Parts: sequence; C-alpha cells; structure tokens
Amino acid sequence: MGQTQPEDTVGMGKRISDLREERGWTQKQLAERAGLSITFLSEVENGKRNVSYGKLLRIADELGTSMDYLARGVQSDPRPRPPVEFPSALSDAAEEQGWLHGETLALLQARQLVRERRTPKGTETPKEYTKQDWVDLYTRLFEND
Amino acid sequence: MIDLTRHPKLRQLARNLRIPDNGDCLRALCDHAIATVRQMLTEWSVDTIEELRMLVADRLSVKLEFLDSDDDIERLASTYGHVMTHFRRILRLEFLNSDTEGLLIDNPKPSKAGRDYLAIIDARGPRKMRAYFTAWHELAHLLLYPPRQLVLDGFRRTPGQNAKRKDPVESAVDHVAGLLAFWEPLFAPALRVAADDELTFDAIERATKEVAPGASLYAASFAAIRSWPGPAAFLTAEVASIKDGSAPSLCVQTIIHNDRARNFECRVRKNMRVPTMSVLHRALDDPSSSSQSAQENQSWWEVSDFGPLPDLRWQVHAARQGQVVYGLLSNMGGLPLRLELVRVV
Repeated sequence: MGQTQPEDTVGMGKRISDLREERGWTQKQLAERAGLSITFLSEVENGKRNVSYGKLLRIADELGTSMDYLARGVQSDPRPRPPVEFPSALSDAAEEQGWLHGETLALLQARQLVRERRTPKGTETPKEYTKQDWVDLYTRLFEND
Repeated sequence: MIDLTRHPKLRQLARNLRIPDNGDCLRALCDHAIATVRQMLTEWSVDTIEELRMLVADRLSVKLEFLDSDDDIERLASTYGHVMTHFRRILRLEFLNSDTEGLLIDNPKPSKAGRDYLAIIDARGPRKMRAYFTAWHELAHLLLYPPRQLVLDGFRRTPGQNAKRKDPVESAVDHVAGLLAFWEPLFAPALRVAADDELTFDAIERATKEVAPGASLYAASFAAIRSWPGPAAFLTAEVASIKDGSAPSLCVQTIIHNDRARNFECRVRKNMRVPTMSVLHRALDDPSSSSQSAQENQSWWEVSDFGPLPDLRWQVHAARQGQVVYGLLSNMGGLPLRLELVRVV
C-alpha cells in the first residue's frame, strides 16, 4: 500500500485536526477509533509524518469524510436535491390534526421507509396512504413511547 | 425459484445503467459492479477486504454505522440528529419495532466535507453474524443505482431475510454483495494458502480471518465454493418435516455447487434427506461445534421414486452451528485434488 505525497502532509494534518475538533473528539479518541497510536496521529496532524493509504482510509472512515478531502483538500459539489412534496392526504391529515411541520416531515420520511418495505409475502406494490393511514402512522411514531 | 438472469426488473436496472440487457442481466449487473470497483482500485490500492469496504464506502460517499446494542440508537440519534427531524423516533420505530436489517439514508445536510449517505447496519445479537454482509449489501445497492438516481428519496431499507428472498432486485444486490464481500483477488489466494489441497471449514475460517474479518462462516463458505479450483459444494441441513408426513429428519435447506461440481454430476438438492450414516448426522448429534470429516458416497443419498443418486465418492466436512449443520462436499471422485484439476480441465 502506497504513501500520500509528502508535500500534502501539512495541509492534510490540518484538515484532519480541524475535522476532529469539529466532531468534538480528542486525539486519543480519534486514534483509538482508527486503530492508531496517539503519537502517530499527533505527528500526522502536525505535518511531521507521512501516512499510508490504509491508515488514511481509517481516519477518513472515522471522520466520515473523503480521502480526497483529507489528502488533497478536494470537496465534491453538493448534489442537487429534489424539493419535499407532501401528498395531499398527508397535508389534509396534518391540517385536521394540527400536526407541526417537523412532525409531518418526519411522517413523510418514515413513510418513505415503509414504501420501500417488503413483507414476507413479497408485496412490492405500495398502496396509496389515506388520511387514516397517516393518522395511524402518527400514533405509532409519536404516541407509543 | 425466480430466474434472475432475464427478470424484467433486472433488465430495467441494466437499461438504467446503460449496460446490455438482452443477455444474462444478473451477470451483466455483477460485471458492472466489479468493473466499477476495479476502476476505484486504479487510484487507491488495498491489502484487505475491510480496506476495500472502506474504499468503496469512501468513493460512494457512504458513512457506515453499526448498531451493536440498543444504546447505539441513542448515540446515532445524537450524532446524526441534524439529518432529519425526529430521527430518534424513526430509528426506534425501525430497529426496535420492525425487522429492518439496514437503512440507507440520504444525508440532506452533510457536515463540512461529510459523506452524502448514512448507512445504519443492525449488528445487535443474532444479526451480528450478518452485519458484515449487510454492509456490503448497502454498498452494492449504490453501485447499481444509475447516476441520475443517486439522489435517494430519503431512505432505503434493507428488509429481513424472508422478505429479501422474494424480491429480484434484492437478490441481485445480494449476488453483487457476495462478490464484493469476498473480493476474489484477495480471498482466493488466502483460501488456497489456508486450505493447501483440502477445503475445510478451518481453512475457510483462517482465510476469512486473514482478509475478511467479521464475515460469517456461512457467507465465507459460499465464497469459498465459488473460488475453489476443484469441484465442491456447500450445504446447510436442519431437522425438518417433509410433506410426505414422515417423522422430522435432517434435510438439506440450502446447497450451492460450483461449476466443477456440476460437471461431476453432484445431484444433491434442497429438501433431500441426509443419509443417516453421513458425518452430517454425526455433527448434529455432537454438542461441540468442531468440524468432522469422512469419505462418503453420493449413492448414499436417495430420491423418492427414483432410488439412489449416481455413484460419486467425495470428502464430507461437517460442522454444527446452533441447530444447523454445515457441510462441505469436495475432492469429488475420490481423486487427489491435483488429479481432479487435470480431469476438469
């Protein structure tokens, strides 16, 4: 497994350090998660040490970022996202029941899970949710603690 | 059993990916996924399959999180609460009150340089055995999404095993996941070193520990059969009732053969009764889970109405896993492996 380019080490160390602090982790915590020694991580963050691809992979994985960003500072463009559209039955139910926007949004997101659900009977075609279905889902999600 | 090679849903998936849809679609989808991963490896190299998983997750911009206990639901809810409203409630609904194995969530608000997707894998209790494979299943799904569909509609859920078996896309994704989880260029050499000339469960476990730690013996055995150079088959057997009304007995529940075994006319099939004199029966009666082996013959197996199967000597290795017996059939024909290879070629 190869090494990152030496000229990247200072910038890379800073990016690792910044992201670690952004997540509120100490060097010890990140080192333990990534299976590295604190001394090694400290030297990497200070740009004094090169790092193998394998170790960089582990650091990126733990920080939830990309190797491209850590090694080169490259960030991909944000993906376009479709606007949220509430089905009319959900909008009607929300209005009648007085649900908050956050609750209604949570129902829609939970419903999208259900829409992907496959039962042991192999049902693949989702049925259209009625107002009552949304109310039932609200009960399951918010009133069955 | 569904024929996946020409299933309309898989044809559509192939069309969406702009790959040939007029032949064996399952093969085309697998080839597409493998080619994509090979492309990833042209820039970054890996030494183990765990590193491969991290690399593929990195390239697909997926953060994998494993639920090891119920407490992890709270941890994830705190860490990713910004992803969506009432995330804690949704996680509890999914993982405490349903049979969900994994969730793939579109991250609408990634933190600085954060990943676009969050995959949550249930690794609690008995699901720990499958977590390794479920993680690959989630990644395989993304490998089969065409670029314009990369924006998910919020979630994708990996359903429980029974539900998955019914869906052709889920089955195809499982095929791809199996190929990736035991990446041939890493797993096959490790298996050959571990096995020397004889395919055993110990050898499979050693190879797995070497390059795919975390994988279950069940999943690893499937991969081992696929990559073993000689004829071989893997089966699981459980005590079950057969429709003829006879008393419950040890029956084959799943079996896979490699192409070489098919050439040797290995004809053991699902639902067949395991011969009582087989070492597979002995493994069932043995409370320890250590592997046992014996030289046996296919002619011990019988098909109702047709009698014994054709004569074929083989080495059987058996290991009990809970209430299930795992079996490896290899060295078919009773010849040393090297001679078998000559015969197959």
